[in-house]
Amino acid sequence: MMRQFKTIFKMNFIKEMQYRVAAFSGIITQLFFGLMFIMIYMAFYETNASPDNFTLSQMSTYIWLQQAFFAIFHYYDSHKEISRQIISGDIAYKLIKPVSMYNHWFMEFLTADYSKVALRALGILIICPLLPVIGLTAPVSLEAFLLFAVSIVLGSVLIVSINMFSYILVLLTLSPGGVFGIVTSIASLLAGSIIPIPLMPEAFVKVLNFFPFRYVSDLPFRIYIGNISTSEGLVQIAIQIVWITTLIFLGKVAMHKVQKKIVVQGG
Amino acid sequence: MKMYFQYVKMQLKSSLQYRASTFMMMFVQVFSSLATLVGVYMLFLKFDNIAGYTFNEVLITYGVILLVFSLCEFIFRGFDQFEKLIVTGELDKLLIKPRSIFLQVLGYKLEFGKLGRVTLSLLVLIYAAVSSSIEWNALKLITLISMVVSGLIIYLGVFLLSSSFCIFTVQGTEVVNIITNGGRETASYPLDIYNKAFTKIFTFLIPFACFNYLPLQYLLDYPGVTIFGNMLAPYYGMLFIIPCYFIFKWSLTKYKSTGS
Repeated sequence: MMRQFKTIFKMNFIKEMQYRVAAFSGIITQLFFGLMFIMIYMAFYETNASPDNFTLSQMSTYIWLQQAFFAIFHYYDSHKEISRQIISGDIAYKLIKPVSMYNHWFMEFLTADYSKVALRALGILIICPLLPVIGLTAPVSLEAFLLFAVSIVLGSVLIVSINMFSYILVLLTLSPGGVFGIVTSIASLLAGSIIPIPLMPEAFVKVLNFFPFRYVSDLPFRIYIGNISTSEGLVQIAIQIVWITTLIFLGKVAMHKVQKKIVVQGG
Repeated sequence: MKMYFQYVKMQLKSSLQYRASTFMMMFVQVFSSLATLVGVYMLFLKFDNIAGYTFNEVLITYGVILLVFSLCEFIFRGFDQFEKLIVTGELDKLLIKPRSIFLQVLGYKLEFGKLGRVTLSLLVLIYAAVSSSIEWNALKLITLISMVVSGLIIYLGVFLLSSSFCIFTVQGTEVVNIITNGGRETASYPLDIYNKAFTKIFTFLIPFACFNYLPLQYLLDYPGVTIFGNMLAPYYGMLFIIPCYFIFKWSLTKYKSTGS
């Protein structure tokens, strides 16, 4: 398992290094969007009372973390090659290999995400602490930072186990446009990617507790800024682990069922 | 003009061949726009106003930019995907035909699936217009319509610029994305809520403000609004197309085929 991870990661990382310019313009885009969101919420804060435990500097830090790790924490069709293989029928070559398709995809997605985020996150994490007032601040405490590190790694596994379902759906429907059009918008809203969860009304936040999405990236970011205390964070990390195991189990079952039904469209 | 309508007819026929797919695209598009709209709505459940603008007032700028952008994706799809024309060498084919290149790219692709979003944004805009505190009269209605027209023309200018950019770089870069998609997100809110420098960029460099907060303040009868500074702003913005068109024309003379 570990060797497989290393090999695929190396492949993906080398590939990503070929596209350094793309990473650079990615950083600029992320900076623009980060600034825009912060300015919007700032404007809200100026004429209203700012919410408890989500002050201007906490909010800015949250947004910058979101932008830094955007390459991992989103629900778009980011593994276009897999979609292409499914539609063109090239997937047949993968199916005859004696490896579990679920495990193979899982590794592929995880390593591709990690290689993609490396340069981008580095760029944001270097530039944004330098900004005045709306910069990226240090974590509230050492404990918070450690918990953040644990839960962001778990979050990256959780989002892959969620995105696996999207690709299983693509296998079934052969329509990446349709699947991602719907999944992306719902998941982004529930995950706090459209607006941060601390800015949502209470009633809606209660609903979010029933879904895995808020444990993906919102949890580590809020532990970092101290919006979620370390003791509360520990409990939520436990929930995060429960979601990961459940979703991987369900994903494997679903993949197994779909693989039996798969029709390769010639080609 | 007659030729353009021929193109439209052709495109409509071809997308009607894939009816299910076109309708599904409409549905999906509406869905994704609704998610961001819900986001804005939730912010206003938490907060009362943004820099003095209420939810219904923000809905006007939100509706205008959504309508402009979805109409653009529908009508100007050829320019939106100009990169594809260059990479595949399709542009060479268009260039050797004895017709206006501008018209040919315009008629190259019309995405009828985007009409779902056009409908949604029209509904949003109508709801916003009716529910807000604006006292409507003929002049204000004309201003609202000219905001949309102005937005369309400015966006066409942006697309022309990004197409010219593509001619030199072959592949569109993500930086262009900042102006098209980033501009759309930014102009969802009245632009004067942002930092002054930021607002100025979107007023004087890329004149999104001309179909955004400037005329909006006229609609809302803000104190200090003027006919010249606010009501006529959409018309000033339209002038943006002139330099863009010439840059596009000029960049075409520098075009080198990719050879594929």
